[in-house]
Amino acid sequence: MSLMESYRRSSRRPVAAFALAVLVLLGACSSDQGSSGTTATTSPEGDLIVDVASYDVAVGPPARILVGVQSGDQQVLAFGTVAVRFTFLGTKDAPLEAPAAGPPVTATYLPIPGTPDSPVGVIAPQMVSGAQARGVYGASVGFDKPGFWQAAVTVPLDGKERRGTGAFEVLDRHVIPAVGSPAPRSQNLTMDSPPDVPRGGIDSRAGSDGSQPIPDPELHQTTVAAALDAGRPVVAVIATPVYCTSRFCGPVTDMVQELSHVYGDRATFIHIEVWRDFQNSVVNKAAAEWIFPDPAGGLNEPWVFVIGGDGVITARFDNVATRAELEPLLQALPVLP
Amino acid sequence: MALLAAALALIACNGSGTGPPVPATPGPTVLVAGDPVPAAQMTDALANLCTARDEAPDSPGAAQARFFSRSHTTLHLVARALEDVDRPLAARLLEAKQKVEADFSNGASGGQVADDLRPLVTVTADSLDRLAVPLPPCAK
Repeated sequence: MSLMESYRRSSRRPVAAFALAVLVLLGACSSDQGSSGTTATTSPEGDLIVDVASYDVAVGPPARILVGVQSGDQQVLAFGTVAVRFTFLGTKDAPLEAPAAGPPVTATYLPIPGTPDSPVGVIAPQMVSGAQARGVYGASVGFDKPGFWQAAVTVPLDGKERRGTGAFEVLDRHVIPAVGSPAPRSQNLTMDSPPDVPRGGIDSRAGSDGSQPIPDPELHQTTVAAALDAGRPVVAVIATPVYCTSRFCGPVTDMVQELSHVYGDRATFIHIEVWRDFQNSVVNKAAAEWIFPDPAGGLNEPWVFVIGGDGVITARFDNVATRAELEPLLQALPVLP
Repeated sequence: MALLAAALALIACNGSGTGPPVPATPGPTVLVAGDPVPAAQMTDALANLCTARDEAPDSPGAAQARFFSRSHTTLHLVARALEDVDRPLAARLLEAKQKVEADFSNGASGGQVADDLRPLVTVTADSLDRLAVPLPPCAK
């Protein structure tokens, strides 16, 4: 049992309930105070569904935040850029009666791995089916207060300005290892793990009965600890290809596997499967060290971390990581002797 | 939190109270991690899985387009809802879904896609039943 951790998935209920409360507050009775810059009062009008796709958002310097946008008929917004305004709504104990929106920031389309990027010549966002494209919009934003925030997206579509909002929580500090902090020196499972280790615990695609081959053995050759001991940079993808329940799931592990074939001379690439036993809610110890450090907290995945040879995290990507974001970081690494 | 909502409403309604109505989700909903998802959306996702299964042998491309445009995202939501009440069923659903996704990713034949869509239809129907979501006629 030493390799096991009990598991309890996070609940978004506090955010949902807070958002409901704010909708009641704003929707039932408030009025828009106009568009005078940062004093505009948010309101719930708008037909777009905005889902903040970031995990572990905390007070601090600007960092990537993701929003997904869809319509009520399951079409998704894709391509180009959108304007997003962030509004501090208050805290659970002290909600603001008249929240003030911040200035708009531009968020750029990030395709989920395995889905098309913006077609050549397409620069404006479009509503498309999930078969045509799936992705989120990313922007670099810093938050100065913990509590509940709202993301309001506005986008011109078919000659009309469409709008939607979504609420999310900003923590007072990161729970998941952040950029600049030391990486957990995990003794993750590998292809050489003892036979009593379930193959599905090394990669969920091996099946709960281990009847299928592990499709990415090159990502299970060594441990994070061993790679760092050797002074090698590490790209660690912590994901469960089979049991992902994020609506933005994509083949991120496949994308990291592809990158390992190109940049394997610059870093060690490792896939840490989240679940040792999904059905019984047992998380792999190595995965827990990275993305589930607080058993009282929540578990969200996938994550991709880039770690320098000195053991310090240099970049991290939550939920959606794209080749376009990772590749420049890898190209900047020297070829190892 | 409900008290907070009520308190906020009372606070807000001390004023003029002429704002826009609160958006409502039509019809029954299923709570997914605290967010309401229309049950009809889940029923529709399964109905489209049935259609994809039927059209896969002759037109795997159409089945793939239908799967990703009308079912895929909602299946994630169904699995997330199941996690709280029936993890083994959630596991079966996600495992069946992953096989279909692998088929599409690997360019599998229409027959293979149909073979893997059949158990996905079955386990999705079981899942909706578990969540008390109405089944489409094709899955009854």
